[in-house]
Amino acid sequence: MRKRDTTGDFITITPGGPTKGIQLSGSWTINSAALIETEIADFQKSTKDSAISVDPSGIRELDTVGAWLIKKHFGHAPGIGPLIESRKNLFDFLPGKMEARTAPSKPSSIFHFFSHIGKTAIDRLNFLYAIFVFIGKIFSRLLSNFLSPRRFRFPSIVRHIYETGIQAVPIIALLGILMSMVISYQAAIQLQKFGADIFTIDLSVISILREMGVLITAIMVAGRSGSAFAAEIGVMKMREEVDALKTIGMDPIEVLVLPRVIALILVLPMLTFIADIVGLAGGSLMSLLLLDIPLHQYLDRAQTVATPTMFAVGMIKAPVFAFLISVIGTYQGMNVTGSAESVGKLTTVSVVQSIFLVIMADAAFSVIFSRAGI
Amino acid sequence: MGALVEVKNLINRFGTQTVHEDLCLTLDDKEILGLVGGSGSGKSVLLRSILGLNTPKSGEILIDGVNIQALSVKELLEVQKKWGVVFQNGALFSGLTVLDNVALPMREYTDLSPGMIEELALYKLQMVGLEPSAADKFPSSLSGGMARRVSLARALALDPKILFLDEPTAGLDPIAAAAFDNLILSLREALGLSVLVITHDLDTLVTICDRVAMLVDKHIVMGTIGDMMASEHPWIHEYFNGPRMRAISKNPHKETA
Repeated sequence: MRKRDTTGDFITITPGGPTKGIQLSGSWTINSAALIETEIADFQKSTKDSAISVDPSGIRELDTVGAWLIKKHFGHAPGIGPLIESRKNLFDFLPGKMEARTAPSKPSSIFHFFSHIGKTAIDRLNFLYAIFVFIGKIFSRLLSNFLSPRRFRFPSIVRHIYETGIQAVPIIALLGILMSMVISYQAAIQLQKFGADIFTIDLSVISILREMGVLITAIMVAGRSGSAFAAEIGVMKMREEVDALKTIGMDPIEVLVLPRVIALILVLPMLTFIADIVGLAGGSLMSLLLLDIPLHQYLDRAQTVATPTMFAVGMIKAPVFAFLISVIGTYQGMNVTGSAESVGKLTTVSVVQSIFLVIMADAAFSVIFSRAGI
Repeated sequence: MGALVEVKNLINRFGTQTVHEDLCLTLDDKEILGLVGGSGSGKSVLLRSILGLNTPKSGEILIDGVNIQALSVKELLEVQKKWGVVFQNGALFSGLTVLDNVALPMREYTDLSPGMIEELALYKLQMVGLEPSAADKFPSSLSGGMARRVSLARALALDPKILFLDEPTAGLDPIAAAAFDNLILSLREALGLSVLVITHDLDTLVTICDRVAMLVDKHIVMGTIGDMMASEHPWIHEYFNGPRMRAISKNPHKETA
């Protein structure tokens, strides 16, 4: 379709006629517009004569693109009149002249560089301010709900417990077992060199209970549920459902945010517990396979290593991580504006930020615990 | 020259619910056909079937004499270039500016130079009555009427022969709606378009439609407004002789149909 017409070009210069002129022919439509465009350019290079006469009688088809090209390049040429007359409807409909679009002026690159840094810094500060305002709103809602507990949205909380918790059990369990296998395997290879095989158990038990169990669970939940929070609320925001809630007099924080935050804070410790248990089971399996340590010996060793404090150190982090993940997810969701693109962008941002914050918080916990000598 | 769009014996069924039963419809060359029917009568399903977005249980859909169900993807693309669709709320791509929305089909399907595509897109925007200053806006900052116009400009980007409009004037103020109706009429004159317009707007129906296709009892009843008003069918009678219709008919200057 886009091939060059075999019958000839779209523009032919009349050879040796009484007056110098050109003939237009073929189908002047969008499908051949690219070819016509180059032919016009060639033609305009070859002649400077603007008053050349044009014979458009050979044009077979004409659409808005063709008409626009003719009007633009041959609009005032002698001989074009009959065509414009015969297709009056089409030509009359074309806008008279192309109004120039004022392109936004681009500042110099050095200015752009510094203004970009400044803007980003201000954005970050604004974000920090906004997130604290958001957290403040959540807590004020929480307090007022405690004063009248019937305002807690229990069905909604239960739904989110099911979606973020129960449905996540298989993947969390699988991750827990894989993680402990990886740790045990690496530890066994190194420690066997020193004949200290038995310390593989110490290493895997400590790292699972203190760090890996809760961290892996939190990262998985951030990817699974934090993103879901952002996307769900974001789409509701985009479709003005959030505005609809407000006009009915319902507070979006109470209806949308609080149930998610509460559900996740309840759920993450439970998932962490599952990851811990499954991780220990994975550790026992690995010590049986790699080190030929039977189960009862593994249990003996694990019991001496794993103190209640150690378990508590892991578990205490879970609600904090859950709070971070749910606040970031819901906050980014509430920040969505009109476009589908912004839903995608803010969902990504919510996952990145919540995983980042989880690891930051974990580092902070490590420092605090080591200072406290736990 | 036969009909541009021809639907033959279309049957659509969802579960046990039959939406269309042996439905037939034709859209003639350079005709504006209004498709009306009660809410939930299956107008949108019919449009989606014609556009190939919904596979019917049985029946044929001929676009310019070609059965679209029998086509390969490549052949279907040639048919798709012959039509432009304006969805109910514009369905503009929210991540692209107005200009890019209109330029997208041209970038995808023509070899035109980028400069020319931009010029053409601006020109199409002017054709539907938008200022060039709107070109750099994003769809989320447009009013309903403007979004509808941008969507129309996008539908016209490849100079189609057939235009499908899904409730183009719904939610527009009377002035904007009348302006949109006039735009459709002058587009038909200028470009020789055939238009299938789904509408609940009786003004649109009376002002621009040559014929009316009424979706009632899973079938299409076709005719002019006059035929419809004279119809014996109770539902059609009520539709075209209701208080709203009488109010429009009283204004003789609008009686162009």
